[in-house]
Amino acid sequence: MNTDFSQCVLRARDGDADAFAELYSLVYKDLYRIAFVNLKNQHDASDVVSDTVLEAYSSIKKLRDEKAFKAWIIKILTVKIKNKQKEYIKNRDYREELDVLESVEQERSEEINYGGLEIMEEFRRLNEDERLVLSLSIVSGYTSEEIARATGLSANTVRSKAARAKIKLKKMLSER
Amino acid sequence: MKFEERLSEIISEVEVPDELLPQNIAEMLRERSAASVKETPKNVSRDSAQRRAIIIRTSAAIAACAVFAVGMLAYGGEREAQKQLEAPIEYEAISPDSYDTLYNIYTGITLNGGDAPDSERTVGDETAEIPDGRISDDGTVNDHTDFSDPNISEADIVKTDGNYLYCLKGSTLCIISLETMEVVSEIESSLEPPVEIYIEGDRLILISKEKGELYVIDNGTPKADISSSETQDSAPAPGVPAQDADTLQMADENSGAPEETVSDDRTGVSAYGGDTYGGNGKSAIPASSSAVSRTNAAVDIYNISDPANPYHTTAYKQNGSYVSSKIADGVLYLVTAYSDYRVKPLDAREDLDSFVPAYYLNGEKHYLAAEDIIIPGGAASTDYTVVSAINTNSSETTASVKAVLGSNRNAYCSADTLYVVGEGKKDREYSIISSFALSDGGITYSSSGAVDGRVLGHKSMNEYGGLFRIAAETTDEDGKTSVSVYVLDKSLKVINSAGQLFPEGKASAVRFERNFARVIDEESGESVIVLDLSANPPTLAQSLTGNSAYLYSCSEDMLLGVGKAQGGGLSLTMYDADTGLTVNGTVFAAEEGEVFSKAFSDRRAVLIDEEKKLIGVPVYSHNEFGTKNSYYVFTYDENGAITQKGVIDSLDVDDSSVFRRGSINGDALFIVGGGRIISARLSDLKVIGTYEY
Repeated sequence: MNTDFSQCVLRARDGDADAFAELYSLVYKDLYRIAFVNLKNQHDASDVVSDTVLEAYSSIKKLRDEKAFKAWIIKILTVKIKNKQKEYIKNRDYREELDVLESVEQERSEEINYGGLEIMEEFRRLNEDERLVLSLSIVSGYTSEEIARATGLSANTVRSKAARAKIKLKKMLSER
Repeated sequence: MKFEERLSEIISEVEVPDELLPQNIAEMLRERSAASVKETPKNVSRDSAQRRAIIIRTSAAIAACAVFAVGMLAYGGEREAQKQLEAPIEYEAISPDSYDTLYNIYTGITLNGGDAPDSERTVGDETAEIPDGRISDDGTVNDHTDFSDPNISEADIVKTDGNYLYCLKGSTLCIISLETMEVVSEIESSLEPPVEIYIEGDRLILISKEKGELYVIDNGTPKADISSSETQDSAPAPGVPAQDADTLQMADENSGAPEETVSDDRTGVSAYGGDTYGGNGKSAIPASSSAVSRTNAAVDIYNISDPANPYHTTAYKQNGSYVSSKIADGVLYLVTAYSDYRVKPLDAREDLDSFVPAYYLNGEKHYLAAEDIIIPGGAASTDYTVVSAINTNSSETTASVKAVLGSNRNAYCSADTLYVVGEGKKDREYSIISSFALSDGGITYSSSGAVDGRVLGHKSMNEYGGLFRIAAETTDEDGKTSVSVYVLDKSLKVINSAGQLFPEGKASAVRFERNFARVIDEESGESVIVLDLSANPPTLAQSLTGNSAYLYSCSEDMLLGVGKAQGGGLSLTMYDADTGLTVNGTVFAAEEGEVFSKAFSDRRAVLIDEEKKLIGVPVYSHNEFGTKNSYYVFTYDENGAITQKGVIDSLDVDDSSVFRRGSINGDALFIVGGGRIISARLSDLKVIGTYEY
């Protein structure tokens, strides 16, 4: 971590909005995209990211290790996402029975040519935990352990959820 | 490209709104610090607007659903059945009188993250009616349609007319003579691999899906519908064909952005479109564009009076992913799910492509007229179910199309009625059911109703004996879910129900067969609760247990269950159709290790010949030598006793030739899958020949 970054954290702790924005510029795309794929629409995603920024800004003094800024703010984001999901009562999408019996043959397909929109539509049909785990893994490149720390799940649970989410996603796409 | 890479690529295309850009965030933080007041940017009005409420039923407080808890009795053991009277749900439906009205409603739903704006009904509108229309309906795939009616045709990947086999293999439809087992002709699809086919007399109807995206430039101006080569820059009159691509490209040039127009020439797609992503098509897209969904379902009709020389007669497609279809009296009813997935705000009401479904007949694009769109009260999503009735009888094909806003994929079609189920939300979630009468190639809105909870999917609804049955899931304040089952009459009024089912687990579906409702456990895939819906309130039935994904009618009196046997192999169980009780035990077909079967996920994979009293089931398993494909044939008698007649095996190196279907023609059995047909003598199952196509 370079000195500028650490300086930004120090300045942000003193209430410097521009310094916080500099830190934010390193992660804002990830924050929004994680929120977007986990919530119903762009407005909720914007709201959650805005709330995350406000909370992070007001509590950055609690951040002890400036190197952990990204993990720290993503953890705040995951809490906000979960709170928003609770507001939904439950995810709105219909759920179909997911027959995983044939997942083995689905797994053998390496080449994926599905369209982006199809993938996104089906991605949103995953359950909340699966979406969160998969998006953290794909958007942020987090390891299972890092996702576990951000979500409060165990690393083993994260791994199994991520694997199941991918199988389900492929299955749903193959049935389109 | 690997799946994860593709997913990552797609997510990386999501654009961050301006208000969240770092420079704006800094400004926001300064303002917040100064004012210490939290506010969230919203830049679009929540104008619920002037809707001319056309319909349908007044806010007639719906179907207050008396939900009887019976599942608790069976599985909770100690709890008493309790009667729960829910508060009324509003489900009034309207049909907008203009695109402006539709846009306002649509935007309201988008802004509310699911809550449709309150309806503003005009005095006197209660008696107005939705204009007669010709919408279509759904039908085929798996559980979407009732095929007990012999007049309804079901689409499939393999069909026969007695003289020829019609088989899909990748992007090719092969027509194979049953006499010579030679391919007499092939039809290549320029779209995605065809999904299903119908054979109707001398017509072959091919259903495909067309992947396409509408790219929108940063300023929000639509530039090109790649899938169709037709774009729309301004709103046409309802039902009026859209402008052609050339005209619009000229308009784009005048607007100063010609280089960002993507035409067919650049992508190399055919007149009916083609795959534009997942490959090099993506490179033609300007970096500054973003996309909204434009997946289409395509219908191509061929004349096969001479199977050796089929020719194309009609091309039709409509927005949305293929859900299902059926053919009744020569009319193809097609249902698609049109999801509203967007990465940019909806901010241009003149851009019909962003909020109005469209269809194409012989290359001519039409937007649905505003009055052909039905909006149930409380609709909570901007997804559409698009339904069309395509008359394939006449020499000049006609189509009538309608759509229901707020629903997606959850549709069911009986012989004469289409049910579309959407989501509603006010203070709680509920499911809104809209029904349409299907007759004479037209579709007419009939009625609306609602039930508490979120529908469990299209596999959790059907019609039997003129009554519509549906299952929904509700979540309590602690996040625990339970299932409710409802029976509704023709006017979609709840007349019977059971609630609080399976609160200790998670149901994946509720399957309705005859008078029974089976609650399927998500974890085990087995029936955990069976209700007898002939009683009011429903009673628990100690029957139909097991892990059969589907039940098959083998006669008026018997239902067959097919599932995996514990410890390996296949199990077949015959049930009494009235009582659900097992008759004559269970038959096991032993296989080493776990077996897989297309029958576990596709009802059509099991062959039932009631006349010959034969059952055919394709299975496969893996061993050290590769994949073992087996086709089991069973017979059954009038008492439901099942006997294994024989099995046809094939050892293959991989899963590429998995048995998918069986078909009986005269005294021959044909097993089809993966570009291979195995023919066998029905009398002794002796293999006559194996043919590649």
